[in-house]
Amino acid sequence: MDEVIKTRGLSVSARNNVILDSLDLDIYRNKVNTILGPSGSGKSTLIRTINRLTDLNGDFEISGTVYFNDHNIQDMSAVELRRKIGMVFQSPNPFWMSIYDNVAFGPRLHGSLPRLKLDEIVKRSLTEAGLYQEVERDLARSAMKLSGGQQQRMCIARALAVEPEVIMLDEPTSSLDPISKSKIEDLMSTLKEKYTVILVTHDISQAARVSDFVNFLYKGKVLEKGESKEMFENPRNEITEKFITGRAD
Amino acid sequence: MKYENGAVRKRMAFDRGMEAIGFFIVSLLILVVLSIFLFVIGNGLSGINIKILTTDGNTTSGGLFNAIIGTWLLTGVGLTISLPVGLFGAVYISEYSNSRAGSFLKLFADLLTGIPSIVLGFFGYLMIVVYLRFGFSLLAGGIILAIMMIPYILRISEISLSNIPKDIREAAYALGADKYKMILRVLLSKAKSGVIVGSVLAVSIASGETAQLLYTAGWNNGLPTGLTNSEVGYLTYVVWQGINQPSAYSHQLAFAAAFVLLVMILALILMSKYVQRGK
Repeated sequence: MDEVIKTRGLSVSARNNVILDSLDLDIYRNKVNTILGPSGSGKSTLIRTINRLTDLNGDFEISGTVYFNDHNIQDMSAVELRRKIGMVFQSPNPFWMSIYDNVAFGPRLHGSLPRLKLDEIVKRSLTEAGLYQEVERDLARSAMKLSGGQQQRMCIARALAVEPEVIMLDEPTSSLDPISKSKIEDLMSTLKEKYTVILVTHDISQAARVSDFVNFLYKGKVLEKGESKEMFENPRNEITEKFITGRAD
Repeated sequence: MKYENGAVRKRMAFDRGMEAIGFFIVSLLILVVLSIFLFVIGNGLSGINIKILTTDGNTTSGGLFNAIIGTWLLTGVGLTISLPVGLFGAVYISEYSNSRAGSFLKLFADLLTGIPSIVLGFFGYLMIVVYLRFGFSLLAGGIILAIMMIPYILRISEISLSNIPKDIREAAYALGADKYKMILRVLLSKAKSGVIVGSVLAVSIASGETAQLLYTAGWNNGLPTGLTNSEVGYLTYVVWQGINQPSAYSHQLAFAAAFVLLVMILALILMSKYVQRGK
């Protein structure tokens, strides 16, 4: 199987608290790779370490290695890395500008493009995020006027606009209503045709619905990893079993 | 009222009492503001005519043209200096400094707002007018106004920058933005209205200042001819001088100047409200 991202012995601590404890995990190309775990298990820190958002905060101490396409991410420029590994946050965070400018934000950062090319990128990204039809006529409207679910899909489009290889979604539906939630879940199965998807969630049924592979993270350690079907039908670890059957503490 | 008993009734009475006191105080405040408006409008409006607005004057005769333009020029120079300084300071405090240095700088800015304007004026006279040999002038007055404007622009801009959630910054970084691009394209576009509000507040306070300008701008019966060593007239000087003169026309000029100032400041505040709503 083709791994896009590998972590080897990855440990992260902040002010002497161990957040992640020597993780070895693999993220497979064109699959939905889920990081499942209860709150406080280190899920968000893990993906922030992968795109080096942890660099922004001096408190983190990181040891071990993260490989992206077999390159150590510390040897890459953070800007280049973040362009290749996009991220969508827990609550929608549109910039204070039009829908068009939000989606075009990333491409504009990385060089000036002719208007026609930019139009094309905005249209493609919004289409891939399943939002284009809804906002086709309103591209110049403020993104703040969209509903929460639309804002989140716009944030997905914004991340896709820079043509990443991987897109990481950090509990992307936790602040959304059920309909918006199911739209985004449906989206993941189409996204994985073109991108590698990493989904962070504590929602067991969501993980079961959309994942191809699951890494179960508990108190900073990967307790179990494997194919989604296998893990949900036949958990090998006792804590995993408790968690996925809803009996975890 | 089935559940009503003595204790509840007492609390409700207390609540109504507090509401009445609050209402009384707010009404008092509105009354004070309205009476100032009525006083200035009542005395100023009758003295306003096209001739007064378009001819130069010397506070006892003529008009207000030189004073109006002088006030605009002085606050204009003040804003030209204080806006970039205040904005850079705000960006530095909110995005670059650690929290200890940040609090120190904020304290420093707060202290600056507390310096009495007459002290600032005297300092300006010694440092800028005499030592730097700028003379009583547009630049001397503008610099002194800028010193008092900076903390307003800095503090309000800094607050609107700090209020932007961390998420928004991270979203820009996650798209591959460098820090300066994140600040320029995301933060400043969002903090714009705060910067405008801070600037308007600073301009309206500055255009109403007198004491520090007495020491740095002087007075001119016409318009200044350069940035340095050429005195400038301004509206608050007309108010201050005109009231002291024993002539009815001086009084008319003083009230007209007060009226023009009030209208200018109100217009600025309304404009900033409009900009805020437009966001």
